[in-house]
Amino acid sequence: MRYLIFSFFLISTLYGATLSFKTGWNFVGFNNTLKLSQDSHFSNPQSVKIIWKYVNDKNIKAWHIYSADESIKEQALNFSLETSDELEYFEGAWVYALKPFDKNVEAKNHNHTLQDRNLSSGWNLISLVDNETATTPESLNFENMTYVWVYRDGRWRVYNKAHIPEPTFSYDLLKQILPLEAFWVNIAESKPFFIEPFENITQTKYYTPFVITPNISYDSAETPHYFLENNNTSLLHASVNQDGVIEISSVSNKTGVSEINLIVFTNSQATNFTFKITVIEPSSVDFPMLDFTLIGEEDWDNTAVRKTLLTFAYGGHASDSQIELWSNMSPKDAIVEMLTLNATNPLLSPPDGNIPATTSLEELAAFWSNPDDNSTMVENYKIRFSTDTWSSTKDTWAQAVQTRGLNPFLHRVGLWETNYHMSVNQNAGIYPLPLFHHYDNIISKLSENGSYDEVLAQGAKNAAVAYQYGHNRNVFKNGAFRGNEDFAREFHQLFLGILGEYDHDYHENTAIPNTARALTDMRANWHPSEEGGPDSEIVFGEEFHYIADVDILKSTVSGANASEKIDKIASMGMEHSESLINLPLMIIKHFADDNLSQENSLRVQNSWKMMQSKNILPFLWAYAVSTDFHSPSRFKYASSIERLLRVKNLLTIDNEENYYQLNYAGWELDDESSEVFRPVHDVFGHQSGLEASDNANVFSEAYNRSAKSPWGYTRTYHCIEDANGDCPKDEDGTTIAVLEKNWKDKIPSNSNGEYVVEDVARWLWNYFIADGGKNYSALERAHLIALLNRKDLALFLDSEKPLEIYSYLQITTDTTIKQLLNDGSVVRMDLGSSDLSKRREADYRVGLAIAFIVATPYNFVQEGK
Amino acid sequence: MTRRNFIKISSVTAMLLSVGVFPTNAYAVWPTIPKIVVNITLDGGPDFKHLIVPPFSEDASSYGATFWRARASIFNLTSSDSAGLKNAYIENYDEITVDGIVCGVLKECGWLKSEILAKNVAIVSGVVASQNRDHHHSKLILESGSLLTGAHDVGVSGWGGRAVQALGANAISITQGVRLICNGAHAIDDKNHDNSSVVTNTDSRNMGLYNYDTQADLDNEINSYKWSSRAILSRSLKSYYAAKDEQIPESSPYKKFTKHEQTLRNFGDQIKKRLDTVTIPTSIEALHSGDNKLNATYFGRQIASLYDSIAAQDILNMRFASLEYSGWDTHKFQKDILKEKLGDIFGSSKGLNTLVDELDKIDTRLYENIAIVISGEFGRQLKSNGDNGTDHGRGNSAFIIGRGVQGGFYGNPFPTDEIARLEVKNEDIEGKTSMFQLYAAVLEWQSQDLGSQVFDLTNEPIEDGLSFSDLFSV
Repeated sequence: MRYLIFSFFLISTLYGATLSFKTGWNFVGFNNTLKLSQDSHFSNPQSVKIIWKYVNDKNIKAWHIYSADESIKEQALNFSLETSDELEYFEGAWVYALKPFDKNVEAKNHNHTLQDRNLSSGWNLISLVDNETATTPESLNFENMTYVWVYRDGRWRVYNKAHIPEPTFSYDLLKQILPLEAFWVNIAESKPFFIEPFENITQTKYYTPFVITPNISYDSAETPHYFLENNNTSLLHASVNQDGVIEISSVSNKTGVSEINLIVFTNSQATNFTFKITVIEPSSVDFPMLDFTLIGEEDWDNTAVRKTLLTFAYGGHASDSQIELWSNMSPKDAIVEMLTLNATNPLLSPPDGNIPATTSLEELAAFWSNPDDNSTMVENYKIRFSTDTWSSTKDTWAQAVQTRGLNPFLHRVGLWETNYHMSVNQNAGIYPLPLFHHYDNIISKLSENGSYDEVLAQGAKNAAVAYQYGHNRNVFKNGAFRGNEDFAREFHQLFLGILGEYDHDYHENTAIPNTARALTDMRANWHPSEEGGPDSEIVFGEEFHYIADVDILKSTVSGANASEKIDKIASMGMEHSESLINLPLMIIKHFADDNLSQENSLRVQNSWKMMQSKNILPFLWAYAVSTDFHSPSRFKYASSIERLLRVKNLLTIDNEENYYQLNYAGWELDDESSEVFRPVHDVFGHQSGLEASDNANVFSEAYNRSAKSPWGYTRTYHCIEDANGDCPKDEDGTTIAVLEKNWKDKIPSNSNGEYVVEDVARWLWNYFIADGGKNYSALERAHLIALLNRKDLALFLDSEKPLEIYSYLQITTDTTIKQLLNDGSVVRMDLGSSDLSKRREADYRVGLAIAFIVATPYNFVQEGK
Repeated sequence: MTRRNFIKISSVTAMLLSVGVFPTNAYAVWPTIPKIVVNITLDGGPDFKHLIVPPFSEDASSYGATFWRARASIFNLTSSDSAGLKNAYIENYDEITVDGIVCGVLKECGWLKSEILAKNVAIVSGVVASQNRDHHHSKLILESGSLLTGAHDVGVSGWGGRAVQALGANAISITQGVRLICNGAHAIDDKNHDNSSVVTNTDSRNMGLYNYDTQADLDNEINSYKWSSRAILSRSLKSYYAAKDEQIPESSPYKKFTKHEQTLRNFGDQIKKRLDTVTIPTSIEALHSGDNKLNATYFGRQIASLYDSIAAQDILNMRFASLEYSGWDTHKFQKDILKEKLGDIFGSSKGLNTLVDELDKIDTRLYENIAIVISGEFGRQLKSNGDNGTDHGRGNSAFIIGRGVQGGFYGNPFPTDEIARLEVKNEDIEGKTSMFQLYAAVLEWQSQDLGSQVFDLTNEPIEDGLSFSDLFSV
């Protein structure tokens, strides 16, 4: 029908149109009022059986029918159905045709437009008056409009302002309403609700709960969703907390608003809801965008937030509803919540148990290795975190990233600083305590909002760096310098990004030797372990310090000791022309972009330069909400550390899994030659994403982990094994576990509490890959449907041909395959079953799907958009 | 690797397989052996002035005397301790004469000494790549083969990668990560690279992707537990990647991974089949495990993988291999550090000695057709520092080793004009010859005109009177 109409309109719009009816139900509207009994088709009972329209006129809401069939007229009487002989312009109707026919539609003979029509609250079945032009649902713009539904070509299509998640098998997204097509539009009845004016809100306020009846209920397969709109068109967001209370929050800098026009719709079955209103104080942190351009609000969506979290926080630990909330906020307001350098970030990583709120890895190591408290870590694994253990630094770091209740972004930055930027290598013999101090001192400085030169200076003053380079032996004694120039050079080159191109001879013959002299009398001495091990901090002496002023970076540097001189070098160096060029590129290339163009690079450099006081946090904020970061041309290959920690993080449901070390990353990092604090390039930093991407060996490890050793993904419980390595079993032979995986705590069900394969597959893809479904093609879908049905695709489609390879073309065109996949896609999974073995089987299947997803190319590289 | 190369190899190997049981001596069926460059990068700026030294001299104005005085602290001596310095020379070095020049070779490097005497080693002095002393940037320049490479150009092509592309062959990366030197040139973007001619063979005996079952397995009812996680996932991923590759355009950043999958799947089975017929020599294995293991077992494992790569050379179409050994940035305590590292590489019954001996057992022509190139991103300062080490320099030496090499000194190892500079702060070896002139000469040996195809030598210096035209005799 649609195609006929379009082709006709190209030729003769002045003469109306031809509407083709097919046998069965047709969902149509007309542009002029029709007298049905005078229409040759509609009045012919051999042609049209019945016509339904829905009248919604404020308090009158009823179905009306028309039929020329006498028996149907009689039935209508018996059911007390209203009859109507007229189909007005704007009205939509269901027409049941007994045979196909074409109907000429006259050109519009009036001046009314759709917007003239006053719609009543509730459902309205209407059509476009204009028979020439299709329209988008957004442009309908009815007040309090919530939903628009169209039935076309055998499928329902829907639009709603609240951005209901991706369509499932049952309906598609509605992009256009066609002329002569009927559609449902829902108008919500608003419920005014008064709160204290925003401008008077000085802190987060929680209003006492009140009860409200929702405006509209709908029954669909989507995950529970709520939408509210206030009369100032500032979008609020609602989410349901653990107690079933709907929390409405708004971050708004719109002052003076005191009335919120609540339009609530929900697909929950409840009829009354308890609300809690939170009005969050407008963010006081307004950071400049520097030379970056802020991403548009329409592009700052759920996918953009997830990409940001994957890049900067190993995916983070935020709930789906928190992510949705951030996506509905302005990007600047959202990013300052998402990325902080505090010890904890309850929004990014909600608390789960009693974890100390500390930035210090050493303190966290002490917490997890505490022999007197078995609630912190299972006994067997405490040794991993004991500071006597050489691997305690790497294990503590990974645990900090994965622990709910801390701040994975903080430790992401910590990794950059200690494994890439101001890198030291435990393979060089750096003992754990000095290494912990190296990390902790730098993180503290960052957390205190120290300027970046202060952060670098702190790094330069750490004992671990001195042990790495040996300048703890630099002295000025008896009028002569005795020492080496290693760190003197790398302080400029690696820390500040100053390679000496500004004046090569000066750099080599003056700046570096003088810096070596500035780095004298920095006392950090080795002691045997029984005496406490090497010093963890440097003591800055003056007796053997080169006390005179030194010429460095063509300026005079003075200071009574090395610490003072380091501060000055860092401060000057941060503004040096070479540092301004190189350092910001080092940062962005590390975190986010392996494809910087010249233009991107210039913006990065300009942005850094524009900061009067260089500070990495506002720099990353501006970048993270910029069009540079969220650009289709950006891509970033994941290093082994990034990829593995991201997957481990997202695999972890809660801290109980961390307690039992279920998602320990150490072995896999070792397999990929990427142990944290043992950078492959020594002081020049760890494996980069680009290096990882070029390394087929790294790919092979990751691939084989999924194919050959997938139990890290598929395990559904954890038990305490006996001396024989066996799990205890109950009388029915079921394994007794101390921990169950329970993916249902993460994966949302539909409104019926069901976990449909199609939905689960798509959710898992978005959860781990966060591309908004861009790369979720029919091929990925097919494999995941099969796996969630516990088979590989070949086995699923034909058990007699387990080695068959199915191409994208086959999957999308072969009707048998399509049908089998559709059948598999609607299967309900037992994730929420009360039967333990069924639930474990369902969790196992989720694990199969995850093992597959993380081995696809899309887990190895992230695009900007 | 390109499909073209793979198909070519496959047909050759198929032909060989059709002859019958594949012999362990693969080279018996080859009329000629291809010339292979084995590049070993010493990361950190190796101090080769510590490896080959002038004899100590009592003549205070001589090179030998000033050299030893300037480097006294390396041996924990003072510059005025002539007796100590003389003793240090005698205790640490074996004296030989090469091309009429008397020199000492570090005692730990007995194999190198014998190879020098056998005229299998070209000791090239005064070579330089980068003119700055920054590790990272200098390495980029060294491996890319161009002084124009910027400090942020981490994605450019490498000279080894460009060479194999020109030869229609493959670079075998034996290192943990693929070094830039192996990167092939990108067709359109000179800041990017194309690694379709790189095969990663870090762990030769475990190369390839897990494959639960094959048609033969199913026919013979092996792996009957086809519902296991391994079975399901290995079949899923194999099928997925086979279908996925055609969906992803060449320019996509995701393409690398489908290419990895193809390469590993294509090579893995073939390599495994070949290496099942090749017993790893005990001496090679001992380099990384057992009583004779090297100080750096990682280098030992690379030697083992290199041995296997040569044994499967026809399958891999190898013309370039990349190895690495790091830790040469000897700002402190360099005597003991270098003793271990140089010993690992050049010592009797150590790394290269063991490899060459085992290759000679297969076919003596192998060592004739392999050129081992050893260099680092820059040298060190002439004078040692106050921490018993040396700081960054620029000019350095490089070594080309092989039975086809015309051995001897190339460039003056002990130029007297260094004497005046030994007392100048931060002075170092003056690099009079571009490293790329040397590399180009090696590539010319591999194939005519290959050097000029890979390097632009227009402005690359070469020391007066020095020529590499006779660098190889075979």
